[in-house]
Amino acid sequence: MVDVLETDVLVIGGGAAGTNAVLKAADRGAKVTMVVKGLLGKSGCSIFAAFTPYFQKTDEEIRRNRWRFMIRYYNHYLADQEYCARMEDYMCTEFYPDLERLGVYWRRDAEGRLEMVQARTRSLVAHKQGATGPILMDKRRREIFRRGIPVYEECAVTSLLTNGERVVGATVLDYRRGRFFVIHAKNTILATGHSDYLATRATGTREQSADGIAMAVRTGAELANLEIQWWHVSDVLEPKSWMRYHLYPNPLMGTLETSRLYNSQGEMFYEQKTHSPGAAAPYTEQLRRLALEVAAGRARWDGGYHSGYDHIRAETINTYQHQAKVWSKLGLDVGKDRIECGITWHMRHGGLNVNAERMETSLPGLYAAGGVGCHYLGGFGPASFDGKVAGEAAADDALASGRKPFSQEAVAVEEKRVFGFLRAGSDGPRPIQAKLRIRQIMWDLGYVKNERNMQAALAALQAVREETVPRLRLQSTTRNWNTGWMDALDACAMLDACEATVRSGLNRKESRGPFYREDYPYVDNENWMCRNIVKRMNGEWQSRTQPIQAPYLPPEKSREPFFEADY
Amino acid sequence: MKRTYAYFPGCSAKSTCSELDLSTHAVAALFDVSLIELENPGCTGAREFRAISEQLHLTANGRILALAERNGCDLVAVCDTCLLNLTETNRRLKEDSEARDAVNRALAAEGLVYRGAIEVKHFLWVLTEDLGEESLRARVVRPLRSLRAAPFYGCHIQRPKSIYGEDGEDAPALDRLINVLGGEVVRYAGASKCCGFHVVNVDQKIAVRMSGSHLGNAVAGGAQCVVTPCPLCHTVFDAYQPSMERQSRDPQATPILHVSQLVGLAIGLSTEALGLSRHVVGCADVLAHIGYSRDRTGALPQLPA
Amino acid sequence: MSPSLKQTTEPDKVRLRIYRFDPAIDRAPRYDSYEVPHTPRMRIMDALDYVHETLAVDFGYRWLCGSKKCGTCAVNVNGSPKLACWEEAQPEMTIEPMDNMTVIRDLVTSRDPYEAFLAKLQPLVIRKREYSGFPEPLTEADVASAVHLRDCIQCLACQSVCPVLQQPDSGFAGPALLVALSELSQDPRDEGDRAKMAAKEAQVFKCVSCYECERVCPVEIPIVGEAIEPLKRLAYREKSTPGARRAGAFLDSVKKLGYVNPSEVALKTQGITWNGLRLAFRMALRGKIRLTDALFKRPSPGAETIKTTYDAGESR
Ligand SMILES: Cc1cc2nc3c(=O)[nH]c(=O)nc-3n(C[C@H](O)[C@H](O)[C@H](O)COP(=O)(O)OP(=O)(O)OC[C@H]3O[C@@H](n4cnc5c(N)ncnc54)[C@H](O)[C@@H]3O)c2cc1C
Ligand code: SF4
Ligand code: SF4
Ligand code: FES
Repeated sequence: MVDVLETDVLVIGGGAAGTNAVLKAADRGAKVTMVVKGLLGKSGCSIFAAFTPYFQKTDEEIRRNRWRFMIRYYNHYLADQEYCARMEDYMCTEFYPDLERLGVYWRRDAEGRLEMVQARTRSLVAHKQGATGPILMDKRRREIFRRGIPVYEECAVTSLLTNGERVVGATVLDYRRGRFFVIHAKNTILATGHSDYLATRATGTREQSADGIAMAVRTGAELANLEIQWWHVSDVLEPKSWMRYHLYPNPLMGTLETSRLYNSQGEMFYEQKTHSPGAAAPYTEQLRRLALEVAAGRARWDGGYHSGYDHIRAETINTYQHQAKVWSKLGLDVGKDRIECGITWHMRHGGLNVNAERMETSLPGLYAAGGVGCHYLGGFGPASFDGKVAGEAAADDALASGRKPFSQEAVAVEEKRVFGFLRAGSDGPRPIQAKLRIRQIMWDLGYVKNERNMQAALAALQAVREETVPRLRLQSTTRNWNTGWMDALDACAMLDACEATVRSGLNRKESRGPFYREDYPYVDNENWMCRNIVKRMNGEWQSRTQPIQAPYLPPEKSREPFFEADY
Repeated sequence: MKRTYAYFPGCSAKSTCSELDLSTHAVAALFDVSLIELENPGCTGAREFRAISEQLHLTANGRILALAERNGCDLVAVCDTCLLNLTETNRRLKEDSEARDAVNRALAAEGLVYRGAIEVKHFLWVLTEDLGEESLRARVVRPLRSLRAAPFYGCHIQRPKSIYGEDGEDAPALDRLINVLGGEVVRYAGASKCCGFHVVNVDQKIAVRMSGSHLGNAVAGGAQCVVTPCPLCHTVFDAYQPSMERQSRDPQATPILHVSQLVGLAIGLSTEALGLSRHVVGCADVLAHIGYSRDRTGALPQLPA
Repeated sequence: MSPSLKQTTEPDKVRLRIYRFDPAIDRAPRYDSYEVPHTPRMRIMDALDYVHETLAVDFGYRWLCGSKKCGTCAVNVNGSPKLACWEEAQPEMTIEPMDNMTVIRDLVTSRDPYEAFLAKLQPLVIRKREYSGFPEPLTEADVASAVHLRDCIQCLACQSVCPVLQQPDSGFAGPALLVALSELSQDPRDEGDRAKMAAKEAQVFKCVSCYECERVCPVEIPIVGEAIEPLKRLAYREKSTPGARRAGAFLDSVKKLGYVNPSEVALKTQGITWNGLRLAFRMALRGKIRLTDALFKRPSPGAETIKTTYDAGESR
């Protein structure tokens, strides 16, 4: 018999969104339980946050710049603009006090004024640029432990449970010990993030296999805009493990300069202040410029171009930038040397189709917060806001309603699926090989897409699903931290998520932001400023679109060539 | 060539380890090294002054440095912990003018000034670096006959790396010295670990367990004795050895020698000159191994049982 | 412009011996050996990933960021703890779990004891006054003394090498926890009784100042000087603990005599104990001390002056 734990609100994921969801739901008096695949506050992409945006309503000009950045450059007109207004309020009033109360130190100068990135939009750092995320997450983690909220770390949620109509909890595998159990919840918040390790080079880390997206697919939830997938351009090429070290092309603390990109001839081909002064996170523009260099043979997607801060005073970099240490560790001089870069699969704009007022998904009882949603790209602050909204809504609803039973049969089926992978032998491929293959497929698909290469990727994914997965064999059947076992589960999740992503890409007949289709090389705001939705019901894929309103900041052109757009 | 140093023996060498002071003087004399002992130098404070007040720590050490500077020569210490306190303070006061001024204000009443004109070194380095291996070797009249000696460096002669650099850890000065004297270096897990002295009054069993395990490893590695440049390590290994034995139910009876004693034996000094009878664990086996009885008086010196 | 690759002397192969132990199955640990190609600027983690990915070995190891942020990837490499994602791969590496920790499987160790101890230290700013709202009055100088402490990523490398923690039931918090506590104690906003926590809960005076923790800290925190000693100075106020009594007795002795009298310090720290007496007899027998030393020793001629100067220094 599988153990069953009862809770009002189950939060899945321990990043910025999940931690705030837990705290805010607990504030409302609900019984909360948290499951984290990595370690609380040490996993997911929240620890990568270099700095956090400083929203101000006092300066009109800065505020206008912020809005323009949010809507146009950061979200390519795919954000929920009403959400942005509420999130702005939150950032102005709650985000910073909540964290400062716990003891976060936001960098000040000698007179006690906040030090900030002085660009068109403002940002703050906790301690140093690049060190902010770990510090914020550490405080949240300590607060969650202090309150005695039950947290299951190094436990992966493997499926969502329903009673036919409603999501009523989830199945969990504690992979330290191999214990499988059920958390029976009145409401469930999915907060598994949006930076997944789905391509050979990715900012997503080891445990980030898009489980949230995959579980949503399997449960029949709607997913929107999965194809709007960002790539980082200025990430370290070698060593491989440092592909998540980012040479910030976005405004830096202490200087008006940013990192620059140089092609194989040493010619500078991108810098933020020249090429996209309005974008505080100019990744889509970087990509377009790099694509031109690649086409001209002056760079490769995986190398052959460089980035660096050598035009900036080394002292400034050392004072404010955490990654100055990357140079010294490699025996390089940050004031002189440049580092070879490659692109990395980065955050996914899309995710579960949510009603951003309450973060409800298309499935009753299931909420989505942070990167895993589709209403806004993300960021540490917005993800925290989502956590608050979802946490409060889920808690209030749970306190007012009764518990619905879950299907024992579904638990038995899931248990069989999970334990079915515990087969040892050498008569089949290892699960990690399936993972590597999937990442290779998505890497090969890459940035430049068209109908043909997306169909090919779909077929390749299907081959892994049909030919590789059924034959997977492990080295050991231990239940203690069985890496192979986790890899098998990850591979299945990745397949579902990647398939949904590629299908979604096939549906979108335009290019936008980081999504580039050679066969539709223009931005089409008339037809495609919408949520491009897919879902899988009983094995069948369905799709629809849902228009996006632009009450505050509509796009200027209804249609423009992709390489002429700046967002 | 006569070499002259200011000499700060430290409190141990003046009390519980007086044999260290004695043997250091004896060895120095033979090498034509003159040690000018500081008068009323006070104390570097071990780890205690710095746990009370940083200013006190800087003042106490700055005072010793200022006294030494009056002699116009480098300062020699024979204790790891004194060495670190003095070296750190010297570095700090050289670099930080505010701290230097504060110390000098406190020293003014005595008419002392810290200028930052000298360096601090351990007597071990005077032997291995200033005198050098060749002049050591030339003096050896009673080679150690492959005596299996386990070096025990102590923490504060090798760490922190902010003072000693990355490779401070394996600084092989003592290893080299043992070889030069004709001994054999015992390799074991504990050579650069901590003896536990600084917790001995707070929780004796922790210190005894720590050093007990190092000694056990040294003995398992075949050590006939342990050699250390630090009187605090010496105290733990020697005076607490019976407690280690009680704890591990494993009699070790391993003599613990100060660096200057080991050198003294090899260059022909007598057990009396080296104060070898002042240890809790007797040194008879070491003396027997190197043939001490035969080449001097023909009989083993009378050591308490 | 500048070349991106400076290393010209990188080896072409890396040989690893990886510790394998599954407490549920294995009676004893074993080591598996692998040879992997050296890749440019290779880190330890790249070598481990190669074994896991390309060689498809399912051994247990942990990492969550690959960029020195999460602090979960530290392992012993040739006997010393290293942050796998940060330190260079060596041509020959014996890779083991960190010492002094319970092994979950292979290289993965439990962090639970650390987390449990951390919780006891109330590791968030303790406020008695109302929080005044963002941004609260604070300058860079107010928090400057703890600037390095904020770099701690809780990798626990320092905990694994601390010789005091390695002793069973030492009661000692260990360096990583002292870094956390010290940061809070140096925070002008914090109003918790950190002195008492440092003295009683964390038992800071059990630190032997061996600097082993600093040796292995991947972010190079001056742990002893900037975290532990400030805490000792705080805990010194808690006169009831042996460590504080020892420091006080030590200073008194030097001020009174002009040098330290170890027997007196021992007596004042511990009182009269069986162990203390035994030791005193043992040492007295060899003329190391006199039995009366603890009660009486003659001051050195300069004792007065020394006291005056120390008092002048201390009062600054
Ligand atoms: C390289 C990089 C740099 C960035 N820089 C910035 C910046 O400078 N400023 C900024 O504001 N934002 C930045 N962001 C974006 C920001 O970090 C994210 O948008 C935000 O932190 C997302 O938070 P989250 O809680 O949604 O997801 P995450 O932080 O990714 O958390 C996901 C959590 O879900 C858990 N999880 C996953 N699967 C499961 C499962 N099956 N069961 C249980 N738990 C699971 C994971 O272990 C993890 O704890 C950056 C992102 C990246 C990748
Ligand atoms: S200095 Fe103190 S805390 Fe650090 S390792 Fe040594 S005993 Fe442990
Ligand atoms: S102090 Fe250094 S070694 Fe210790 S946990 Fe923190 S980062 Fe790791
Ligand atoms: S993997 Fe996070 S610190 Fe190494």
